[in-house]
Amino acid sequence: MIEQVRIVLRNSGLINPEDIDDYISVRGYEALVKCLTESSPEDIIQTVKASGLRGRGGGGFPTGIKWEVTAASESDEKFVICNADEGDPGAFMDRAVLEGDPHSVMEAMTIAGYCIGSSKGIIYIRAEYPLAIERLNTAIAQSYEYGFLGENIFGTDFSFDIELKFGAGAFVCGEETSLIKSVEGKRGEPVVKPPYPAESGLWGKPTLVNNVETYANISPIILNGAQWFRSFGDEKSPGTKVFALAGKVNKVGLVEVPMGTTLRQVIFEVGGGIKNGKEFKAVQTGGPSGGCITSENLDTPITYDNLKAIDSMMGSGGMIVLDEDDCMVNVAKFYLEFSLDESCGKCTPCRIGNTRLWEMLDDITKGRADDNTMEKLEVLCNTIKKSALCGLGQASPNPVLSTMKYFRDEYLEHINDKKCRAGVCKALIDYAINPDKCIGCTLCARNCPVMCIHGEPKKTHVIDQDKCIKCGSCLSSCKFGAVYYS
Amino acid sequence: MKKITDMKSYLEVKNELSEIKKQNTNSKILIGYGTCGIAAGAGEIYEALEESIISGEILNCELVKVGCVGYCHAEPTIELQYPDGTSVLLGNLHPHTVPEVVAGYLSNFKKKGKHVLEKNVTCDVTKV
Ligand SMILES: Cc1cc2nc3c(=O)[nH]c(=O)nc-3n(C[C@H](O)[C@H](O)[C@H](O)COP(=O)(O)O)c2cc1C
Ligand code: SF4
Ligand code: SF4
Ligand code: SF4
Repeated sequence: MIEQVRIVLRNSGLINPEDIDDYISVRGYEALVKCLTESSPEDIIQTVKASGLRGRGGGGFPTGIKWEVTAASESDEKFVICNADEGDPGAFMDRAVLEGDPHSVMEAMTIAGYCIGSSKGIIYIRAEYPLAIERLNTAIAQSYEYGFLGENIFGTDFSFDIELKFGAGAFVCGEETSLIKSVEGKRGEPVVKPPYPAESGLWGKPTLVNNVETYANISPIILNGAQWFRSFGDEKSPGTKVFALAGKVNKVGLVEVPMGTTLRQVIFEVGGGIKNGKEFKAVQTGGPSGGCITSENLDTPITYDNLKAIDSMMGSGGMIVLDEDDCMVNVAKFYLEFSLDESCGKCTPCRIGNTRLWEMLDDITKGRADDNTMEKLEVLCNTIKKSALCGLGQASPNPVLSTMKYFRDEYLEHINDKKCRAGVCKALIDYAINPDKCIGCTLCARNCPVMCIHGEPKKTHVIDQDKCIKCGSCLSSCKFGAVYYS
Repeated sequence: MKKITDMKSYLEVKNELSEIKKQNTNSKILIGYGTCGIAAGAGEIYEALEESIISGEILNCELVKVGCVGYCHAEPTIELQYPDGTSVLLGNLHPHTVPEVVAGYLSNFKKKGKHVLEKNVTCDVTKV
């Protein structure tokens, strides 16, 4: 049985997030005191580099290197930003950290400020997280009282302030250049990289952008050393990862496991297996930028590189489990719909390309696709990937490509046989009543919202196919298993 | 509040806080009070327990609102921390029965039952 290892969630649920004393009593702010009074910025950056910590916001970029580059950028002013936008559908890791242990993120941001030579921290958080915002505000105020924030912290010449900026909940504002525009009060539209924020970010100044979970790892690394951190996880992906486990799994929730744990362990051991004894079909990781992983790859150890190799990605850590009742074409359509809704519209490949992609998927689910659809889909996916401006558009075809690769037969079934084996694509299914099983109890007829089931009591009932809206209510109401779909 | 200026003053504050914690012989009831917990009814659980403490049904206990431990499937959850440092995490609670359940586990840590999710949730960093 795999054990959870709580580094990021070390205090969440154990301390009172609204009382700084509780945080201090579990060695809170000791790392900051140690850094400011005993170490040079270079030493700390070396420790972070040696730990091998990689950004938990999705890309997996080495955090130490990002700090080093930002530290090396010359400027009169620099900024430290915490990306708490968390826009992936199904993800709530960052919210849990901010609600349960806000000081751990603020402490790390202050350490980062000391390292890169910045005196201004900004937490970009979506306004839909009111409780996290409230607790952060409380935490910031308490932190000033002890002197962990403010002018000349611990009598050094280092000063640091933290301010909150609220986002309106647009997924694209999680992308760092777009986030920076939003903080500047402009429209949240991405700009071309390079230059990277580390050189030219907020107000054109060098800016460090890290994710909430990335920051939450910093203090333990400082206190226990890089080697300690490397004792968890994998050579190239050290440490742990928090996953938000959702979908058709018994124990929905947050899990923190060492990197290198297999998907099987997460879903079947920690997650307690599939709901209602159904058959596992796939697990979606990486949200709208990721892909679906099949049972073939369940024993793949979870690392940044392994997930990429099987056409998915780590993303921020959302993990949605799918079972036999899920239609993979529909799943791809769902994620694409999300990307389409959240596209900022700045560039053509994403704005129009994704719309056309969605229409093709819609055709497939409605039985209107033809022999060329698969090929057209694939070409368009690859064109969008290559030509979209920002990460949102570049990754938006991923769920389509990965389901096309691993569930090709299901696509072909929809296109050629006009069949949806999961019974999800309504246009492709017909409900019917088996005369051998129907005893004429009338229940289905009474439940049908459009009253299209006819028959006398105690006689076989019949569905009027022309009027049926395929709601499925007859199927779930029949106690004799007489209703079926094809 | 005392300003912290160096490692020495930090450790003084920290040790003092740890000492206060140690001297506290009350058990603690930690209520999972994140957005998820609140949505699942942590507010009602809090009120029910607060009433039982006021009425004396539950003795020598403090109520603390904490963040989420990740057991979304079993919310609302609470963790009972005994004065000796051991703890038990309970889930799938209901406001009507929670005072009784808590009283039961307070008098008998070893008790087994459908509410127990995990024992002695620890934190790797503080152990060091
Ligand atoms: C469409 C899109 C959405 C993103 N959303 C988030 C987000 O919600 N939170 C986050 O931390 N990073 C998000 N990122 C990644 C950020 O651009 C950036 O890489 C990250 O904040 C860097 O922090 P890290 O190195 O600590 O991971 C997103 C990227 C893209 C392309
Ligand atoms: S890829 Fe999409 S989200 Fe990104 S800039 Fe282009 S239109 Fe906007
Ligand atoms: S509910 Fe089932 S058994 Fe009853 S009338 Fe309808 S099909 Fe027949
Ligand atoms: S699927 Fe819905 S609309 Fe169609 S026959 Fe059954 S109950 Fe009526």
